[in-house]
Amino acid sequence: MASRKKVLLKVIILGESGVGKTSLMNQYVNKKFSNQYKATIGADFLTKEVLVDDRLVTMQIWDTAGQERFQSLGVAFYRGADCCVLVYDVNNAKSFETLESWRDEFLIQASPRGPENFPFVVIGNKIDMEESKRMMWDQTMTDLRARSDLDIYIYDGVIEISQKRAMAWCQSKGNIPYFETSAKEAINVEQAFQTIAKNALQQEVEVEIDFPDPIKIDSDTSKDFGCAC
Amino acid sequence: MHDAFKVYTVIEKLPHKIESIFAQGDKLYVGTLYGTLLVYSVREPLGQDEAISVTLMETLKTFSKKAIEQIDIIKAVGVLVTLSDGYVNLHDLESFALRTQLGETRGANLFSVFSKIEIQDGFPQVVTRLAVAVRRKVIVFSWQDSEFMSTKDFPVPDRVRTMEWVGTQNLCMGFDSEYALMDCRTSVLKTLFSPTSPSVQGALGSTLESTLNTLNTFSSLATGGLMGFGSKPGKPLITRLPNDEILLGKENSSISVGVDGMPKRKKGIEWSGMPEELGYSSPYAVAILSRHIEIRNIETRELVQSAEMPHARLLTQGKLLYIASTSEVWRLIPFSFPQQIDELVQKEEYQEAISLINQINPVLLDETVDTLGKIKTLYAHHLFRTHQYEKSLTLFSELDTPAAEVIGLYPAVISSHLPPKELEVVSPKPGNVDLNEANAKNTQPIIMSTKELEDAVECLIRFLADKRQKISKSLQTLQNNHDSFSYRHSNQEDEAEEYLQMLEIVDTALLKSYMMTHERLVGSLLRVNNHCNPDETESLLLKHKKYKELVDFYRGKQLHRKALELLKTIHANPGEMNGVLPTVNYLQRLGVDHLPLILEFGTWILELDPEVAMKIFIDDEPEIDTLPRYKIMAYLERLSLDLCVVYLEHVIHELGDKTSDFHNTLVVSYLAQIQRDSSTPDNEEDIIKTKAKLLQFLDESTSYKAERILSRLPVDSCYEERAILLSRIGQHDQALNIYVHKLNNFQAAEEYCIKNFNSNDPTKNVYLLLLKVYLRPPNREKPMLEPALDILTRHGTHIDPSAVMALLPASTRIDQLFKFFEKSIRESNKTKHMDMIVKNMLKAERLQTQEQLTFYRSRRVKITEDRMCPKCNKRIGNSVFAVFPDGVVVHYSCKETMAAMGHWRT
Repeated sequence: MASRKKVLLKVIILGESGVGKTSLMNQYVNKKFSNQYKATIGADFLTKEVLVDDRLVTMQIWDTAGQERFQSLGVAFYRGADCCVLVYDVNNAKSFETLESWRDEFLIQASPRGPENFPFVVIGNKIDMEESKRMMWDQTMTDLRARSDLDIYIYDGVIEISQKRAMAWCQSKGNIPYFETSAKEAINVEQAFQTIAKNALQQEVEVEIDFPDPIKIDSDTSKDFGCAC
Repeated sequence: MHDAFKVYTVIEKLPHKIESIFAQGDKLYVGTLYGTLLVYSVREPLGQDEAISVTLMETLKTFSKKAIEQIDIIKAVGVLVTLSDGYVNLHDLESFALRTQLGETRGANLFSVFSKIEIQDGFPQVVTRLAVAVRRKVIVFSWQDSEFMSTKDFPVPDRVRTMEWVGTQNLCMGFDSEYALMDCRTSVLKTLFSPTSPSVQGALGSTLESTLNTLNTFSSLATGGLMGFGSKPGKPLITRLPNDEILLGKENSSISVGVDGMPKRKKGIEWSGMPEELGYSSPYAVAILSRHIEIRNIETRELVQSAEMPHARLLTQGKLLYIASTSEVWRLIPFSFPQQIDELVQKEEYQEAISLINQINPVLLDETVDTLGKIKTLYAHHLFRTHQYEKSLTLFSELDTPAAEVIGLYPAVISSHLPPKELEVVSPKPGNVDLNEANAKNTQPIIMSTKELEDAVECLIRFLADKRQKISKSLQTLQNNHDSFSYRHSNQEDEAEEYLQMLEIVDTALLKSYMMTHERLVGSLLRVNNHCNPDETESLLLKHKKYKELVDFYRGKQLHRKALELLKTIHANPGEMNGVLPTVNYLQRLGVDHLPLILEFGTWILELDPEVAMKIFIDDEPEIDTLPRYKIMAYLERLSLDLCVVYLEHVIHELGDKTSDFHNTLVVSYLAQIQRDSSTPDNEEDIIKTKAKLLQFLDESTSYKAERILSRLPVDSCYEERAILLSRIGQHDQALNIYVHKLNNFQAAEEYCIKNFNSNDPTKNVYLLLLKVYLRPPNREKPMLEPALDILTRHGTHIDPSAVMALLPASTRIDQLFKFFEKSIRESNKTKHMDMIVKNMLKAERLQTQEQLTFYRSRRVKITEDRMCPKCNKRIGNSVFAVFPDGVVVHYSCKETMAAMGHWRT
């Protein structure tokens, strides 16, 4: 019977303002990307049907406002979440530093049944920017090397540290799956959400919700009403 | 169960067989089998113990020839509607004289009246509908106010067994096998469901069923169609509820349906038997069962009251509830609602009480109106006591019950931090005995098993998480308001203080709850902005040895000293807080504002594990960059020479700091290290390493002050270093002296010259200086001719031969100088030839320039009287003019404009 039940997975995306939460959702669901920044107000969701392990499930992806923290959303909003996605911007160290408190806030607000095993997924977004920045930097380096009298610091190290750090952090929080994506270039977005759906489904299976049986009033309606005269 | 109604006997042992009853105001109309109409006046008792007073007002023996099957009133028209002998008759309500017999209703078995005030054309009008079921059709008569409007026929597929208006437009009908809803505007019939379960129908069999149907039709014709004893399964029953809702009988249950034919409530009412008649008297549904009557709350479906009424078979609808058997009539008068509610509260049937308050008109509630919240609170407490924690806390949450009251329900392990006064939960309200009693129960401690407590705590966590957010929000709103006013409200501050206290209670309870059920979340709570009570948190975490969380908590509360002291105390314990690393990590994130703390607590870790501990100064963290390097240098200098060196090396090499003080100190520190190491044996390797570093640094760095360091160099060693320093301040002769005389390293001296030679500055010719060092040694030593000649041989071209001659001792053999002279002469020859070439080339260039000059000088323009300036079209005349290289002549003042226009770009 369980497989016949319609499965709805509630996924919540959290992260600092401007890291690309809305863009990720839009890229995944609508395959669209816009360069313009528009702050999300409150929360918004999109749904998508996904095939996970041969099961068709509906993913309800909740995009939240990064700017206001949790102020505008009630505790009820976080209840019944099946997976929480923490997003940061690989080019913004601060957005990574705050991941921990986003996770803490979520756990407190959502009070999931098994906080130890609640599925999180971490996404480092905007790797396309990293690429372009790097290219820019490479150019600068070439220019600088031409003037050999200048001291040169190796820039590449900065980003690698943040990536290493992200992985170490995910490891320390119970092996949270980690993805580096670009909502703009659609890199790794599909893979990340596939994992999200899979992990959310596992959570869902563990907590089956029973709906009360609806009363049936028309099941025994006799169709004939005597003769038609 | 409680007593909703008090039962009074109105009529006893009536000699006539009662066939129908109807009540209106204080009048009770009774119709009998033999056509007699009895009208009674019924006065409700005023007090509890008073009896009901009943007076027979009229006895109309010959009202009808046949049984009066149904009675109703159309008030707007002033008529009494009766069904008798297959006709619907309208009698005058006062005189009971027959006004009209509705001829088209011949064969009628049933009618239904409905009146409603409707706004038509801006005026309120009473719209009355009378539906009469006649065999397989329904005739609808309409009135507006007292004026008869129309008649309309509607065919129906079967004989109507019962029907009821749903609003003025919809008629719900019950047939033997089906309920149907008809829209009288469109005549569309919508079937709903059958009053009988399929199993019963199946058991009867189709032929038998049709026979029975026919039989029943006959019998109902004979008995007047109201009902028969021992009615067959699934008799259709329809009762009108408020708000266009109807209650339909289906065997033992009653299902409520809206005007759209869809079920309105989640579940139907389940009666203990199959109802024979169904009624509604707000807010209760009433059913006559075979032996008794049942009264149920329509919302909660709970049995409210049941009463023995043998042979009861008729009932009236609405506020005036009468029930009749063939010879008796009872009146059911509701107790006042405050009374009912009190009784329910006393019996702890809070749900019923709440449902009752929700359903009845608030006007009926007088002083109990404001107790709904209180009853709900009592209900929540009751749920809690009966271990229904989830429901209880959801309700508390809905009610926004103060957190202290809820936390107070829990055992001390959760609630011990509450201030004592908070433990008296709901303050007893004087004068209200019932609530007081309920409160007495509340204050008793609740005994829970471990499992129950865990469940209860789980629910509490959700409640508290919700609460803390609500309070935070309120607090923030308050603070925002506060910001927008320039003056200060003292009461606003009090309010904020109150919120903060509540937050402390909530967060501390949440912490304890997490500690009990979800230890993992303790850290989360303490890391985010929280208001946990510091003392409670401290002792709790220490008790559970949750040091990491405690450190996080201290950090969040800016209690850095406490955190650091704790880290120091526990550093020897095994576990994740072992060693100096936790302290290192902590100090790394403190930043410049807490420098004294960093330095204070840095000491013990630097002493214990300098390599790891140094990370507080040299790691790649944003906060570390903000630390003042001077202070750290001074601190480390005092602490340990080696650490100071490590730090300075980091600052200079990694961070590229060019501050000369750092560079000076590093050099001095290197020297100190060398000195220290040379005083003890077995440090050869270290000394060599340090020396190499020092030399390399002296060589590479340009930021140190050589003069200052020179004075600190030991006199009898470090010649190499001294040489580098001397060269820095331009004392090349002294530097070379050291290489030659102290170190006897001629090669180094030569390299020094190669490095420092600057051909543009002949006054400081290092080669000449070196030569002098070799040939004019101090203290009348013997001149060193060999190395001098080597230098001359290799680098002689850089030295003026005449200066060399002056230096060389007279005894020098000329052949030894052969190479030097040869080179020198060749060099000067080379220079001479080169100069000649240059000279001739310059000459040629000069000639060319002269030729060009002649050419330009030979150019001329002729200014005639008529010559015009092409720019302003005026004569040039005697004014100053300019000539463009292409020969165009303009006024001098017009030159710029002309050029700007693009003529002959210059």
